[in-house]
Amino acid sequence: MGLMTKARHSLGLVGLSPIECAKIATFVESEAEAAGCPWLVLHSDSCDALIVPSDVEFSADPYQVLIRLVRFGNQPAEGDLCITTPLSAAELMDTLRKAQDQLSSRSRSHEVKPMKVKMEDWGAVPANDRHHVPAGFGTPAPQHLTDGSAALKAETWPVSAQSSHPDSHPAAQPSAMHAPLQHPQPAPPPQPQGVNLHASGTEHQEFSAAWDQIAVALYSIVQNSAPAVAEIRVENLDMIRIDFRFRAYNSRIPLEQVSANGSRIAIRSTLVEAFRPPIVNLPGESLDKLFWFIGSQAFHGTGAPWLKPEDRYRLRRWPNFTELNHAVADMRAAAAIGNCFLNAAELASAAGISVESAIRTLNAYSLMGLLEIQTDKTAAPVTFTPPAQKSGGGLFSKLRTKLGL
Amino acid sequence: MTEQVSAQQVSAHKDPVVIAFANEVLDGFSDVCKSLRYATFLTDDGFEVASIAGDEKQNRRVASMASSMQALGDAVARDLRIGGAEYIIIAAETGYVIQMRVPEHAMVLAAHFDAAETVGKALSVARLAASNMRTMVQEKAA
Amino acid sequence: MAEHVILFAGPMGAGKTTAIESLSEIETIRTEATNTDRETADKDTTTVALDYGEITVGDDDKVRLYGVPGQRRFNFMWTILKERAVGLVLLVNNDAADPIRELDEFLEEFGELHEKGGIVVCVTRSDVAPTPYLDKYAERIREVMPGRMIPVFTADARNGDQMRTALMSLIANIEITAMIADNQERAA
Ligand SMILES: Nc1nc2c(ncn2[C@@H]2O[C@H](COP(=O)(O)OP(=O)(O)O)[C@@H](O)[C@H]2O)c(=O)[nH]1
Ligand SMILES: [Mg+2]
Repeated sequence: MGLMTKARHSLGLVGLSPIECAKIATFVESEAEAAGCPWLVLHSDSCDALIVPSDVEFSADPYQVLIRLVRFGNQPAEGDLCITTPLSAAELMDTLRKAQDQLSSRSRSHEVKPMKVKMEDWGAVPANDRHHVPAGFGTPAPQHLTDGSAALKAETWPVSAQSSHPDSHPAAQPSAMHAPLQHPQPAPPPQPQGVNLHASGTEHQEFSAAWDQIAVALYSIVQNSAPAVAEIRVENLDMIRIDFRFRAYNSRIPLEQVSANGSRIAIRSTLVEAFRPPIVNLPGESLDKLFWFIGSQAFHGTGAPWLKPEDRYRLRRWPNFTELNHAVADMRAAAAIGNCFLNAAELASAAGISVESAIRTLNAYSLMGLLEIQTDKTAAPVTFTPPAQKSGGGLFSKLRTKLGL
Repeated sequence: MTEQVSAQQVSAHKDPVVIAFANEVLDGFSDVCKSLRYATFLTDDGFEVASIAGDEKQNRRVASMASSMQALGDAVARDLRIGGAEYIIIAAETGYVIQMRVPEHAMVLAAHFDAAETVGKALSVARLAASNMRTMVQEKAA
Repeated sequence: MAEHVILFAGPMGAGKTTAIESLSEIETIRTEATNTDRETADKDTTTVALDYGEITVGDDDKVRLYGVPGQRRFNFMWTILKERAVGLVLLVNNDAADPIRELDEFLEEFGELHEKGGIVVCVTRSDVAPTPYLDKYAERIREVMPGRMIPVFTADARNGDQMRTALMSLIANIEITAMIADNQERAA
C-alpha cells in the first residue's frame, strides 16, 4: 500500500530535558522542510528508534534502535549509536541515517515493518463519553502546554506561557513531540466508489498527508495512556487543543472548517501531571469526535499503519453517533462490525459500502479505541450474502427514505 | 407553583387526614350497597389512598391499573372530543367495575360490584361516594 | 401492512414521553396524570398507561412507538406492551440517583426484547449530570448481556435528530443481526 507520508520511522525521546527535546524536534522539523526527513518525532518509548541519555539505564526492545545522548563529560558507550552535546543538526541527521540503515536491514531480514506503533492494552483506553458542548477557546489565558512536566517522567520545569513563536524560540518550548510536516501534495486518489461515509462536507476535500502524521501521533499518545495534552497547529495557528486526561478537546473553529489540505500542520504534545488544571474548557468536546474526523479522513483511504490487513476487528462498543458527524451508512457499518469480526473487505460487503469507506471506518474506529482484534486467527472468514430484498428494501432503507436521511 | 400547593399535591396518599376521610367514605359506601365487593380511592398517578377489602398487594395493583384505565379513558374521550371521561365501566360475567374521578381532584374511585346489583344503582352510589369525598377534602382545605 | 412495534422504556423522568413526541408524525396519545411523587422525578405530570406515536413508512409499513410508564407499579403495562414489541429504546437519565442500577433493572425486565429484535440504550440528561460516562453503561451492558452488541448513545430526548439516530441504529442492528443469523443458518 505504501505510506503516503514521508515519515517512515518514528523517533522517541526518552529522559531528555525539554530544551534537548525542542532542539531535536526543531532539527528534524527543519530538515523535513528542506529535504524530507523520514523521521517523525513522538513522545513515546514504543518508537522505531529512541534517543536516551547515556547515563540513564535503559533497555530497548529488540525491534528498536537505541541512540545515546552523550552529555558533556560523559563517555560514549561502546557499540551504540550516539550524539553528543552541544547538539548539532548535522550530527543528528548523520546518526539518524545510520539508525535508518539499521532499521531497513532489520526489516529486510525479519520482515519488520517500519513506523512501528504498538497496538495493545485497549482496556486502558477510556473511550469517549462526553456530551456535545459548543467549541471555542475561552478565558482564561491559555497556560496550555506550559504547566506540564513534559517529556520526562521525572522532570518538571517552569516554562513561560508564551508559545506563539515556536520556531523562533525553540528552546523555550516544552514540546516533546513535533510532527515535521512539509509535503508536496500527493496525487489525488481515485474517487471512492459506492456509498460515501462520513458526510462531513469535506469528503471532496482530500486530507493532506500532514494529517496522516497527526493521526499517527494521536494514536501513539493514546496507546501510551500517560496523561498528556496536545495542541494541533494549522498554518501556525493554535487550532485544536486536546487534553487526553479528560478525553476532551476545544477547536477554534468547527472541525469541518479546519483546513484539510494544509501542509503546515503540526502537533505538539507533552505529558502533564494528573493534578494540573485542564488545558481545555471543560467539558469541551468529546475526543471521539476529533478522532472520528481525523481517523476517517487521514491516510487517503488506505489502512492506518498500525492496522494489519490480515487482522479482523470487532467493535467493543458502538460509536456515540449522536455526537459524531455521521451518515446513515455508518450505522449499517457499525451494526455489521458490531456483531462479528471482519476485515475491511468483509465489512464493505456486509454494510454495502466501498472497500475504501470500510478502511476509513476501521481507521477511525481504531483511533477511537473502539476495536478489538480477533485472536483466533484460524476462524473461518465471514461471508455475507444479503438476503434477496423484498421490493423496496428492508425497514431501515424505507425509513431512511422516509426521514430523508 | 408555591411550596404549599405542591406539598398539598404530594400528600393525597400520604396525608393521614385525607386517608381518614377516604376510609370514612368507603365505610359508608359499603353500608348502603351490599353488592360492593371491593373499592379503592387512588391518586391519578396510581397510588392507593384507602381501600376496603382486598389484600395490601392487590390494592396497590388495582390502584395502578385503575389509574392507567382512567388515563386511557380520558385519552379516548379527548381524542374523540367528547369532553372528559365521566366514568368507566367494565362489565364482566360475574360482576363489574366502575371507576370515576373525584370531581375537581386528582383522585379516582374504583369499585367492584357483583352481578346482583343493577348498573344504575351501582353508578348512583359510586357517584355519591365520589362526591362525598370531594366535599370532605374541600371542607378540610377551607 | 407490516407493523413494527418499538417500545420506549426506562425510569420515570428519563424522557420516554418526550422522545416519542420528538419522533412521532401523528399527534401523540398521552396518558399523563398529576405527579405526586416529586422525589423520584420533579415534574408536573407522569405517564400512567402509555404513550403512543407513529411513523408511517410507505403504504405498507407502520412503526408504532409505545412508551411505557417508568414506575414499577405499572409493570402490568410493561407485560401488555412487551408482547408485540420487536425493539426497545431504553432511556436512562444520567441524573437519576443510581442510573447504572436503573439500567440493570430495566435490562432485566426488558432484556428479552434483544432476542425478539434488538435494543438500543440512550443516556439522557447528560447535560444535567455529566457522569457516569457512556463507557460505564457500555461496560455494564457487556456484563449483563454478554456477547450481544447493544448500541449505547448519549441523547437528548427533545432532539429529533438524535432520537432518529438511535432509532435507525436500532433498526440497522436488528436487520444486520438477522442477516448474520440467516447466513450462519445457510452455512450450517
Ligand atoms: N436537560 C435535558 N432535559 C431533557 C433531556 N431529555 C429529556 N429531557 C427533559 O426531561 C424530562 C423528561 O420527562 P418525560 O419525557 O416526561 O420522561 P418520562 O417519564 O420518561 O416519560 C422532560 O422535561 C424533557 O424535556 C436532556 O437530554 N437534557
Ligand atoms: Mg412519560
